Amino acid sequence: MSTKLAKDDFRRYGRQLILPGFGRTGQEKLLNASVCVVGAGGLGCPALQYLAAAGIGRIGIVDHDTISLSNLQRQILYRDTQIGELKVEAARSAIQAINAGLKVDLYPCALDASNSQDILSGYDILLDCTDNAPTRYLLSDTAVALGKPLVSGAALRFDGQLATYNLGDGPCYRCLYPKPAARATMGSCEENGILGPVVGTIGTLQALEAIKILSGLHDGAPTLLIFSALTVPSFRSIKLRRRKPDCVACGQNGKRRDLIDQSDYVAFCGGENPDYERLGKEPGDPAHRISGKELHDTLAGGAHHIIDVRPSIEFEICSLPNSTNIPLPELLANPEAFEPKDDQPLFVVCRLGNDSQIAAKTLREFRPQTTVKDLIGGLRAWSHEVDSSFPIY
Amino acid sequence: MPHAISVSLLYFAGAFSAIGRASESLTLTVKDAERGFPLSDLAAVILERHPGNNLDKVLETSQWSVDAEMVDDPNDVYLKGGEEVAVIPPVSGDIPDTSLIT
Repeated sequence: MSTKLAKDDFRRYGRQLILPGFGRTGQEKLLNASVCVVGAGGLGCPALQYLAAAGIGRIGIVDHDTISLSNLQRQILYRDTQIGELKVEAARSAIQAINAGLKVDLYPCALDASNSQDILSGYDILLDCTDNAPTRYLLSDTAVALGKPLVSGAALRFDGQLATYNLGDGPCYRCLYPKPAARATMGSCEENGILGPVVGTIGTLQALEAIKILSGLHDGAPTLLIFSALTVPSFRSIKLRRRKPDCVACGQNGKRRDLIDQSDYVAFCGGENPDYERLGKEPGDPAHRISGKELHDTLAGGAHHIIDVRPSIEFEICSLPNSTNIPLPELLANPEAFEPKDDQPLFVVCRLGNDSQIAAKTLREFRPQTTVKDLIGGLRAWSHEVDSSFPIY
Repeated sequence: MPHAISVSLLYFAGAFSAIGRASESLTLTVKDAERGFPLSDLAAVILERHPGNNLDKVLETSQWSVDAEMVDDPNDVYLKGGEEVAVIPPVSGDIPDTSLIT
């Protein structure tokens, strides 16, 4: 039995009901449809907001994470007062505040090979709003196994991508990207930046894509939309080829369900993401590394140099007094360039204490006479242990 | 006789980060006038032009599009000149910057 529009729905959805090609039929399709949003972060928040407002009958939200302060710059369903709360619960309150009649299913867990088919089989359309490669491949394989369209969004820095996979004879994510992107091979303290409206643009387009598919407005042509906020034109559509006949997931001899059981998604994508904060805090050799407290005392004592190897944009945000900024790539490219060439002790700092180890090791090779130590745990540890007024970002 | 053709390149996401620019015009030397310049040779030209970063890794996992159409197999595609070729790396949201540390 399909649900019909209630009396109030005609007013609520009036502005879309009158759209040519959408109409009452389109609205009733949305009302009887279900969408599962995987990832309630920067992409998921705007997607959920628009799906809820548009009147999707049932919405699933999958996310294991809780809200943190650094999420609020882009994860627009969440409030200052909700830090520490589960994202799925805060997201449900937010979208039910928009549309009280919504049915919302919560999955406060990480999606993995053991639960993905159970969770996602009950939905018409899947939205990939995740932020990591292993889950992207798992979601794509699950969409293929279950025969459901997957609206995939991704954003980083000033760039985004949008594509709908497994729609008609269109490709799956594996057809397009058989190999996962290369990971940095060395310990990095750098984190990727993202601008809120960039990820918001892509999340909003994901909701639009889902609404188009459900209401029958989608033309079915597989395309990859590329968004670059800083270039003109900002949007480019790339026509995608059809499903690859030899794709391991969706091809003629594709393994579908078996692929999910047999895959180690994390290993396929280069292994677990290292915990750089923990790695940077490993004390290491006392001749090579120095704690925040010890560095603080040493600095008061005598002549020295401090080299900060973070990117210059981060150095401009905050830095130790009298420190010199030589970003790591520059230092590695030309380790002899640092002046003056006296033998005063050198202290190397960075954000978390990984890049500084690489820099210190290189400097030691070029200045065997000089004491070179790097700050354990980086400037983040400095803020915790020595100077709580030093910003953490 | 070898002759020169010109194509415009677009660099997205990780390719943009590695190269430091969004687009450029490239002059390519065509040895086989009938077929054109093999797309499968283009990565080497780009790498030679932009040494000293990890662009090779980015190109390995990227896709090519020619005139806004995704290329199935670069071995089947030859450039005649005037095309717009894009390097499209996967974006997942979590890949640590691969452009800085070499």
